[in-house]
Amino acid sequence: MKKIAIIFNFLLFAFNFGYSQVNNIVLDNGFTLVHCEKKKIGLVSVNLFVKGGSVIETDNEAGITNLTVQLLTKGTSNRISEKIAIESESLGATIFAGCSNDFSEVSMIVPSDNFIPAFDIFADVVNNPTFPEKEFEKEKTRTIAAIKSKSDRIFDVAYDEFNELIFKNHPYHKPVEGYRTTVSSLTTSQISDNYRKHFKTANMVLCVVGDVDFETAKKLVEKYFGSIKIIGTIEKTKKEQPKIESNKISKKTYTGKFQQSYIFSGFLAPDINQKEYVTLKVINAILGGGMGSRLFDVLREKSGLVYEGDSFYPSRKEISDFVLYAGTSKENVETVEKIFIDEIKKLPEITDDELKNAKEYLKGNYLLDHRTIQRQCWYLGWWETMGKGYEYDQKYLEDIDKVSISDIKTACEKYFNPKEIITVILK
Amino acid sequence: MKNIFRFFLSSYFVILTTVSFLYSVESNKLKNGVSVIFDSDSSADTTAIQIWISAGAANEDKNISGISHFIEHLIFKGTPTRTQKQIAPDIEKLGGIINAATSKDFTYFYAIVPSSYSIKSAEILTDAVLNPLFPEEEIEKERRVILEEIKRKDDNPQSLLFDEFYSHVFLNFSRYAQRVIGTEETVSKLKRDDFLSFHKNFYTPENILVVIAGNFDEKQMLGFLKNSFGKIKKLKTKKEKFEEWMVQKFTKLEDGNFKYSFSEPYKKTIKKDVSHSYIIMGFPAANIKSDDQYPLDVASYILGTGRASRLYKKLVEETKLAYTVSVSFATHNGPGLFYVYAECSPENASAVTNKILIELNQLTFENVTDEELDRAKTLLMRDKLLQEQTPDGKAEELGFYAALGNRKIAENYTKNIKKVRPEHIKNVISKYLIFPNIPTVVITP
Repeated sequence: MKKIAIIFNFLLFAFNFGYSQVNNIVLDNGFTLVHCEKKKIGLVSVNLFVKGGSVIETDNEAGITNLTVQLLTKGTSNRISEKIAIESESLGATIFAGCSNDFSEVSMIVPSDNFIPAFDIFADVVNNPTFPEKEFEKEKTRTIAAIKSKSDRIFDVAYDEFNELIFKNHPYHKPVEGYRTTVSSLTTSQISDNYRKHFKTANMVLCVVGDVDFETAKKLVEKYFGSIKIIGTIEKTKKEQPKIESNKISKKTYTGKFQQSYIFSGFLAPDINQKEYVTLKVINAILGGGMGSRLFDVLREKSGLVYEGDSFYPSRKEISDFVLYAGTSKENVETVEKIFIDEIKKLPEITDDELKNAKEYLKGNYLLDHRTIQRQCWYLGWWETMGKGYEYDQKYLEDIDKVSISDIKTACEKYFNPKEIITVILK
Repeated sequence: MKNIFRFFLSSYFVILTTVSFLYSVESNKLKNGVSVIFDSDSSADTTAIQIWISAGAANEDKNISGISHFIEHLIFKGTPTRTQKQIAPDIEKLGGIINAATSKDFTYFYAIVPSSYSIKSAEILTDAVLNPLFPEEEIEKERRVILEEIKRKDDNPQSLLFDEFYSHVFLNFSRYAQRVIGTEETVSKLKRDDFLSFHKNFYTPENILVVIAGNFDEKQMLGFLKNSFGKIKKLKTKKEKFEEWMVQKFTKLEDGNFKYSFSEPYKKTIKKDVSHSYIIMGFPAANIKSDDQYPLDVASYILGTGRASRLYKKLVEETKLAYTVSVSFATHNGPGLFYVYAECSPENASAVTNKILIELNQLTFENVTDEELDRAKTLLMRDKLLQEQTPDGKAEELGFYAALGNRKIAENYTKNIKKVRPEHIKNVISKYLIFPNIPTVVITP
């Protein structure tokens, strides 16, 4: 068993996160553990992030990462699918698996008394999946059904179309669960190959938060993940720079089956490691952050045009998008589209008070999103996986405070040219 | 079970995106009848402020269906001393969140804020709830917002399915059949006088419960509540009993619960342009006063929570008839609903409903195993721990049961779940199940 810790950090976070001491070790094989003990809570949350989500897939294999992680709990060399379910649930543990653009994820929540036996099952599904043919066919059918069922949800239909348009030259254009055709064509051998290629210890960040001490967590990690050797080279994600060429289609209108219409408008935006990342988070709070935001005011309070209308700016590793969206009556969709453009033009006009309020909103929501151990665990592991380091969970708040009006004006000029806005309307 | 109520709520703002060792629960009643629960936790960083009104869609006459929900929206529009911008945006400026939701049995308003702003936030929320202006201009704008919300709800097959199910189960006799959000027709006709009158009649001391949980100064908070809620004039609230509604299709049992006595067509099929079939089937069961709730909660976990549950194993894993299945017991003031939800391909819909029927019926003559019982109880206890991690989670648990009329459930829940034995599950399902005429709604292509 490998026992050498290359890095051993202690970090004290501020009171307002409810964190005590955050510990971090990296094993010889590159496996990273981040841990934080929360005494007397009676629960432990575990999140394993594996770098490289749907972004590393080719278009022909769209959905392979998602299907791979869904199958982890469906059979290992030690347990059949049913045994995994019965054993874990009898311990009060639930194991979830999922996939996003930049990583895949396996997580578990368990009463702390049962953490050790539950972690044995957790490690088993991560390290020893067998991808049985029968389970593979079942999961494939369910995934295809889930893909089909997205067509019943107006937001999903419009958002998928928007991603296809705005990220047309980048792997982010694909839905993480893939397409019906690509998922149908996948085989168990492709799934096994995909697992072997990407589920490598150096790609893994495990975060444990809850009623378990660091020594116990460390010993378990060393026992289950320390002896895994690095075989072959680590697959690096290919970088492709998206290009939205001028004079190409920047607006598409579709006909839907819904009573409402839906509109998505937006721009390509900086990735999580760009210097403007936090500035755009603040801009997003100004535009779409809660009931004091500009969009809420203009779309709901002043005009009653929408029930749902907002903006978002996802944190992504390679490139992102800044998006405004709304659901409205068919006759009002053009009015909303015009409002979006007007609001983008007005963005640089910002007062000190508005900036201050947006920052408080953003920080407040961020802190409130850390109320449970599941979310605390997720954030620590997620920042580490995204390349900012788990310490950034705290530093993010300081960076929000540093954003100035001048930063906002510069970012708006750089990223938000109203003439280049990308729009999808589902009528 | 408590966490199920979110399925039947309609909330003001779209929600997209969820240790204490020095805490104590304390209940008070102000002189005029307003109930107060404090759950103090000096180690918490936040405070949850929740105002529960024991009035919702079930208190509405048919012609004003949707008024509770409409008022929930209008509460944020201003008071004599605060503009719209000084309510929700002011809470957000403090780093807090604020929202509200309406259900069949209650309407509730809440804020979660950093502890240092507990009193300030309580002042804002209290003023908004007790002194709404209902400005005409705002009513017209909000009417348009709610009409959009109705369309959005009808576009979503799951949401439509649940509304249709309630309407089907309660057969338009009980007010539980009415949609929380109302209809286009009723929402279009509601007037300012209707809002003033409903607010006056139902936002009364005996209908109001204030729950404060987290880190706050109890003495100061109680002083504030006495000076605000304590000043409301005591007014007798008109309360209708369920017996008055459940005129024809229900049989009253000796313990006060109701059993369905169904003679109408029990299955409703709705054709819609959807990708596959959405199914819900279930039956009315224990009310908020009944101890039958505990075995019903355990039964729901045995049948449909987790991959090792009976229905998941049989319908999803073994026969592959369904893509997904889940089971819940939704607690209400009146009869709760024990229901199974499933999604499957249209050609399997009939087989899925038959299989569910068989599994439900099996519970009436065969005891569940000790292993199944232990698994369900362990998961229920785990979910309770998850809920109680945060001041708002604890407040929600205390407030939900108290607003429905049985606050003791929150404190005795664990003890009562532990007491459940296999024969209790057999008895309780036998008591309420109407085999084979279980109300069923299917939305299918």
